[in-house]
Amino acid sequence: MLLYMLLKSVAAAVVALGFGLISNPPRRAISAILLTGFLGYLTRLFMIELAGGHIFVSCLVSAIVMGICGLVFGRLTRTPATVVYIPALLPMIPGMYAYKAIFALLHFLQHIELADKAVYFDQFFTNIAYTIGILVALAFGSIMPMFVFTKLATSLTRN
Amino acid sequence: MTEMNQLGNLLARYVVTMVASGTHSSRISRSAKRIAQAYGYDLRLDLSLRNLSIMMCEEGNPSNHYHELIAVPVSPISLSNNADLSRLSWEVYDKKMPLADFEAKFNKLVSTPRYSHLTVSLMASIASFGLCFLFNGTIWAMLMVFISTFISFNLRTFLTKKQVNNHLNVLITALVAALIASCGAFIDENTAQVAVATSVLYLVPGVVFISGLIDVLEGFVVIGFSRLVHAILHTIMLAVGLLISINLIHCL
Repeated sequence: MLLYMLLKSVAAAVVALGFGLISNPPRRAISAILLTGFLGYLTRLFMIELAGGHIFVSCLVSAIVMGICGLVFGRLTRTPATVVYIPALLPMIPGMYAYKAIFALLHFLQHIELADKAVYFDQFFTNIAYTIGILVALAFGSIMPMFVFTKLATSLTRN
Repeated sequence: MTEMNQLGNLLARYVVTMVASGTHSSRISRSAKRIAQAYGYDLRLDLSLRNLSIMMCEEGNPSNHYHELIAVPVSPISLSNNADLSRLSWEVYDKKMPLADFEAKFNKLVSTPRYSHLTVSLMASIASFGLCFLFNGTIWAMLMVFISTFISFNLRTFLTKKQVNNHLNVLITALVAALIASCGAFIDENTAQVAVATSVLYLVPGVVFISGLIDVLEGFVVIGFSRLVHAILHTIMLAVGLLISINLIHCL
């Protein structure tokens, strides 16, 4: 289990860096992005697999961890916290839920029978609720540490 | 040109670069005001995504002021500009840097080249490969996603160079990415599902979403909502591209 969690977290770190490069991060922040992506995903896996946490709570906690990593590593690399944690959040985008929601919407529109429509509507609503819930948890969780440690967050780039 | 005009013009360029790079508004405002303060001026900013207005006046002498209204160009997100320009503002403030040095450093930072296109497209493809692994995709799904991201990323760059409308660009890119990824259906249907779901995720506008949310929470409601609306439209276009591709796959 531990090996599985570590392997997935390494993959998440690579995803964070790969998608992060599209937004042109500074070179000095690359190791910080990798480490934040790794720790954030490891926290999420720990919460879901070992602590039995709900996916919303797990995403919220891991986003808070990433927000704190953003502040700590941001201070070490003299970069704003957002530069570190935004790329690190990208592996946690609820892509499968979003896909299933769109898939269910398509079937809902294509079917005429009321019973079929009800099934697909239920699938659509469940998946879209998960998608939005996870996105909100990720966004608020990562921003929260910046509002708690305001003074640190506003002077991260000072030498 | 007086020192005030020179500084005002430079600060206008500084703020425009920060807005276009996707930096959240409170950071832009703080950094620009810090620079103005270092030279003995007060600064007021009115930020929006299309145009912005700056007004700078001498501390204690508001009648002597500089005002400029500037259009914000459309340019790709740059976290480097966010980090480096923010750091530059502290350097100016702490070291009392002469204006000429500030201008030289600013010009050097904004002309720093981005990562090479090949590096970014390869890394984005590897990232999609990794994301597919996180979603428990098979090795075939991962390979399909790698190929689809590489091709669609280059298509997006090509369409951007041809100045195709950004929303249409996202729709076409998502459609092509999902269609290529769906070729995995020839191997098995489960492969295709994970591959199609993963193939478009690199298009999600994460920076704009988070910056917009921070703006709204910090009271920059107008620019915050502009950013969020922009990000939501971008995501809807992505979803429409995905929807069309799923429909096409089912028809074939």
